[in-house]
Amino acid sequence: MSVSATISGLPMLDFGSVAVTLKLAVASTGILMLVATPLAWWLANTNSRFKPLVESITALSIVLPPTVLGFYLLILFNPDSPIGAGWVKLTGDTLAFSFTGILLAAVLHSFPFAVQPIQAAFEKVGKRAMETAASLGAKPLDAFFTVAVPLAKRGFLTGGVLAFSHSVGEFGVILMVGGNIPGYTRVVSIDIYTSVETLDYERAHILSLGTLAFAFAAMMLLFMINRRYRHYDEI
Amino acid sequence: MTKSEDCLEFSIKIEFLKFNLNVAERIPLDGVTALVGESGAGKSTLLRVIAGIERTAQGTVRFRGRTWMDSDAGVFVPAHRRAVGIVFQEGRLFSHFSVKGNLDYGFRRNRGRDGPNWDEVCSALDLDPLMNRRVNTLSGGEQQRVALGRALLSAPELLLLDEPLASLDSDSKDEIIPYLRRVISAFRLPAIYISHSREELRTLVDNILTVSNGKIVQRNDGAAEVGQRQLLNGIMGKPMGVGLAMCKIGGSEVMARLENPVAEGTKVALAFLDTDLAVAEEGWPAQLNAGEISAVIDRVEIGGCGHYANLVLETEGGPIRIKVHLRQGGGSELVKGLRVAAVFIRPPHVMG
Repeated sequence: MSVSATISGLPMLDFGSVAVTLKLAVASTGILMLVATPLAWWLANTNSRFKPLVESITALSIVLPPTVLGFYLLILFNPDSPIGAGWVKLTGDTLAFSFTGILLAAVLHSFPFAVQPIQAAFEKVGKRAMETAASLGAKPLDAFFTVAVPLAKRGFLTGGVLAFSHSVGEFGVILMVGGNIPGYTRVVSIDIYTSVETLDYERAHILSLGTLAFAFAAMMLLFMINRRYRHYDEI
Repeated sequence: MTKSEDCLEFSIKIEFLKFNLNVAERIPLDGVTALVGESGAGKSTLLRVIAGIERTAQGTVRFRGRTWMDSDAGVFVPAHRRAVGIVFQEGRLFSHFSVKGNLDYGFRRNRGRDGPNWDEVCSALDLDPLMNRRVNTLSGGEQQRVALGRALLSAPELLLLDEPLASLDSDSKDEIIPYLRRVISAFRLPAIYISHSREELRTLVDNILTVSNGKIVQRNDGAAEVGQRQLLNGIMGKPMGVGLAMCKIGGSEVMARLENPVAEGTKVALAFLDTDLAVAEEGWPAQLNAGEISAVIDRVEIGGCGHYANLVLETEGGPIRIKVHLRQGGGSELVKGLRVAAVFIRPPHVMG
């Protein structure tokens, strides 16, 4: 779990938090894509009167302080609660202060960042393209994967990059749910905080600069790819 | 009577907030039927119900005797299993595919139905030069050609054209109409065609249904407006005014047009189009017309899913073949041996 690196002129530093962060971001993005896609499709196409309710719940974590979400999750993950106890029974491990726990928290916290761009993209694809595909003999699932998903590619990309980046930047929820256990739940953002607290500014600098570079690269990639697929909208 | 195998029959009710559609009709599947009417009359909705992409309708849709929809029986065949090709006003090409990808999309999903083959469609619509273009680089007319080709390659049994030319400028329209005509005659596909333009209809369409306020208010036959030439034997009578003369056909007198003077008493042939003639009950009150002759129905053949009857009339001047339009459910009064009046709405021509 620990990644070490020697940077010339610097002492050996333990970058385990980088590995935890990447693992967390990759896993949460993967889970989010799987869960957000059907929900986004439903939201984009439904006339249900429950739509505003579902949309509000989905968007909650944008406005909620991370500590509030973290607090409730901590209560739920507690081995004394039904969910926490069930998890312990099932896996022998606690949800609170574990990687699975912070993964669940990250998924919940990044949910709107994945759902909303995909939903918007599906709304833009519209019913018409699906009708056309059906008239050409495509079954609904076939039409979904050959027409709706490719046409919504930019939405998936935006959702994916935002979910990934948001998971990388996760701080408050993880601190609440996962604590600060090196190699398990200590992510880069918490590592930076700890470094500053312990006056290890060198470490804080390296981690912060790395995160900054990563964030910038992610945004560049997003906008460049968006530019490449803009012709999808021209018809 | 046309068999149900050759008809599209529907009886559809659909209620929206501001608009109701309530139509029942049988459409012959041996040509192009136009739906005309002001926008908002329900034409597109009707087409969407037939295609199966509008699911909220009540009633029945039967195609060649197969039930596509029967809301009482809970039958609804989804759009992708109806073998209906649609060309929409806005092309609706898939922007994530090239022209070839768009054509291929329908072609790969026709599930072995017999349909026009790839080369025939591409050559009929001149698609080969466009094949590798991205669809956003195509002109409006080119897009509609691709959309038409894509629909044809999905091997439809019925082609629905929802104002396919409406978004094109007049040059592009002129460019695509010949393609449309070529495709319709080459692939012998029954089609329903929504259009506002009489120009388009005159050259493309066999039947016209007029839709207004969600109801079919008028049926008539586009092809009959062109008319078929008929000849009757008559005897030249007195000239009257410039270019007109009275002619005798048996015991009746009919006004006729003539270009060159013909001596009174000469046997002449009188030419007319069947659209110049109307069939009326005997003893109908005479109106302004060019005269009428007595006739007996010799043969009745109802066609076009009850849209028209082909009649053979025996007259003193020889037999006449005429196609008459029928009201819905009409035609039962037309029987062999019935004596009728063949009324000239316009004077026939005296053949010199």
